[in-house]
Amino acid sequence: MAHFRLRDDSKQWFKNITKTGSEELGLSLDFDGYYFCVILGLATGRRSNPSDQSGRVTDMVERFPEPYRPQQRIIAGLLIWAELSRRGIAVTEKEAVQSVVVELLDAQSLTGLSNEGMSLLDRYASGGFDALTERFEQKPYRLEQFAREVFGEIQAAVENSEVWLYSA
Amino acid sequence: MKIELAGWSSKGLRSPDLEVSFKRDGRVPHVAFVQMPNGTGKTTTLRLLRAALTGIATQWPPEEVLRFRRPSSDEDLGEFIVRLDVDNRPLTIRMAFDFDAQSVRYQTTFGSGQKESFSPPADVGRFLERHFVELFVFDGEFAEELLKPNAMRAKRAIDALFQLHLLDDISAAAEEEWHRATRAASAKGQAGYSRRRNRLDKLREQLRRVKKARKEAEQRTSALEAECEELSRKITTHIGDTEDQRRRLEEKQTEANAAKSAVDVTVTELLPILRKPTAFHPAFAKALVRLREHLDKLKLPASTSIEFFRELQEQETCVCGRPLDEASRAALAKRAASFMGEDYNGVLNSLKADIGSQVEPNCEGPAKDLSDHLTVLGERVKTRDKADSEVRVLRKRLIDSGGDAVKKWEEQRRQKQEEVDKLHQLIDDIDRLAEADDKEDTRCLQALKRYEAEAVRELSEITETLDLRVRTEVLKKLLAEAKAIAEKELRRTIIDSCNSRLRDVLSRDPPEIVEIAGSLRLKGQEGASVGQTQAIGYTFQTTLLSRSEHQFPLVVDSPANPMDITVRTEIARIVPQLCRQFVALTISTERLGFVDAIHKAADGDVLYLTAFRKTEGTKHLVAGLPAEGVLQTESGVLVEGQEYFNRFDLAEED
Repeated sequence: MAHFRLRDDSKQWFKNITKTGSEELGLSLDFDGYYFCVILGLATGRRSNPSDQSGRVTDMVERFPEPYRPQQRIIAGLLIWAELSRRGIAVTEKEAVQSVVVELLDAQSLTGLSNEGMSLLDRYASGGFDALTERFEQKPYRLEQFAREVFGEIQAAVENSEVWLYSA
Repeated sequence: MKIELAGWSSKGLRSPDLEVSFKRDGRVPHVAFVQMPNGTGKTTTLRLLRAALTGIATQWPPEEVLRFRRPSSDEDLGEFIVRLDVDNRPLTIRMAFDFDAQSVRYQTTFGSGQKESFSPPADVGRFLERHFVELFVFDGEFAEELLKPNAMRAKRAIDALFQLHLLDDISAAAEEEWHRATRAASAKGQAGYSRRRNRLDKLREQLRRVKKARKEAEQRTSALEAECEELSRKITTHIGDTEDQRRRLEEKQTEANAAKSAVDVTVTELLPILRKPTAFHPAFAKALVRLREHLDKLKLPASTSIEFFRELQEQETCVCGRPLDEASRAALAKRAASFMGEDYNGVLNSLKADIGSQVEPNCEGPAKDLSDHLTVLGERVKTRDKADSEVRVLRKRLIDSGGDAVKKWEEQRRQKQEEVDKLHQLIDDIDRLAEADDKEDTRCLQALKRYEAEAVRELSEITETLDLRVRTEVLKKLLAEAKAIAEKELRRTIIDSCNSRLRDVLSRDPPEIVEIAGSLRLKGQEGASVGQTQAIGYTFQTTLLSRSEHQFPLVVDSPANPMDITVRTEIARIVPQLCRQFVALTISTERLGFVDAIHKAADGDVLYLTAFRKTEGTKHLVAGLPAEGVLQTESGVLVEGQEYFNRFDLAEED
């Protein structure tokens, strides 16, 4: 069973805004940090191989955590859109679109994504984390501060993206 | 198990073409003499018998193969077939000689099965190996070697019969199993064990230290926080001269607490909004809507699935009624590729449905919602930070005006708070997630636990390896001891039995075997006469065979040739008692003192065969053959009968 895979360095990066026993306010899931990275990766179009970028990569979850399940097909849709654009496929090219759909989706999978699709999402998450560490001078210490800053970074990335702004 | 030699046949080889069968009325006689004058191929026949029974000929070098070729013959092929009865079931081993290719191939037939190789059944095969076959297909050379000081024939014969090498095989199997089981192990020795044990001990000590430090830090933090609180209370009680100032500080503190709560609430409300990707930018929502629209325009998922076309290809006619030919089926297969399977249709429909239900047509809602929340959050953060700042300023001012005692308490409180902060950092460092560069002296509990699990796994691996090594050594030692004891006891009983028989056979001057090392050692003499040697050989060999629970034929080349008449008679008297089938390849001069004695000892259950080669010199013999019991081939003659056997003589024989 395939898992979403998390770079250990990204897990470490988010630790100060992750909810702990003593700190009640913060991200409650490892997947939260992964998700912010995915969104920034999709927004910037950056992808990287997690294993190449980090000393250790660990299997995280084999399905979307409960709070994200309503969004799992939305995330899959964004992934398809990003990949169509990256591969230079127009949404009017039926066979090519179908081929990408078949490659990235899997009806039998818990995530609705094929192994290839999950691996691709891991690559966007890794690329997004690379972008995040370039844009933030230091690790975030307060979620309220991080939320505002990451929102601004994603907005800026989308505003500069042909994938999202001009084709959408 | 009972193994009998039913006969053999030879064709196209150095010895004359003959088919020798010992079975009469469905059984083999107790004794069979095959009288073969010199030059008829006794030695060749004995070697062929051994080769057929051991499978050795596939290892023969070309010159060895060619030795069996009939002189001045153009024939490229030859064969030698041995027929055995194993518990009354026929086992046939055929050697096919190809003199052109200079090789020998085997064929084995047992029951209804036939194999193109030397493949006797396993329970028979364990006896059909060189050292054992030499015991029951026997010649003078073997007897001589039994007494040669440095030869190992005696020992090998004992090993072969009692199969003590099986104990070595078990030992080797145990060793092999240890290697197999530990092949993947990275360390196998005591040094590796000590290294891993030390590593685990160190890690556990570090874990114990870290846990103790954490517990002490928690206790100390708790105590310090209580002290800080007490100092703060004392400071608050004593600072400022006026009630008014104190009330102002309390009000500001209440405001700061409320501002902090407002921020916390906003952040808590924010998280579910952040978990919606479309909240980050309307462009995400627009892209999804556009994707959905285009999937609809492309008719994806298609109303007809790939399965429909695959099934249609199997039909005789199309849904429209037209017959489907190969061209139509190929076209269907090609078109089908542009349709997706039904399962993809389902997942794509769900994707479109989710986009339809969760993404608003104007696409702006979630992004505006998030933006508004973040704006509110920003304002509340500012309010909180301002309130915190005011509390700090007011507090400092009050402390400054409170006198030396209050300043001292505040300094104490500050120092204690610093210590609390450091202890929190320590606890955080202990509780943090493991990092790739954590070493084994880290304070991170998660990293230490990972290292400990790894060390336990490695130690467990080598512990199992060492345990298996110890058990392997114990087993090997037991096997070696068992073998040594068995060898010693077997030698002792065999020596006793042999000496007892030698006293009967060579009663006038019996040699005495005192030791069986590699060879037999006689008491007070370095060697023995030819006759003594042969007698000792018989004695040793028949003693061994008589100790086996299995029955084997005893095939002997020139059984009486080197012995004087007295010894011959003694040997002849005992041989039938020691085996159930005795086959002797003899020459005419051995008859005296031997044949009659055996005939008597075997109660007349004796088959007499005489074989000779057809040559210029034997034409007169062919002319004088009896009317019955004669088998002739192009190159040889086989005559059955005691009378012919006894009168057969040739001037050239010794």
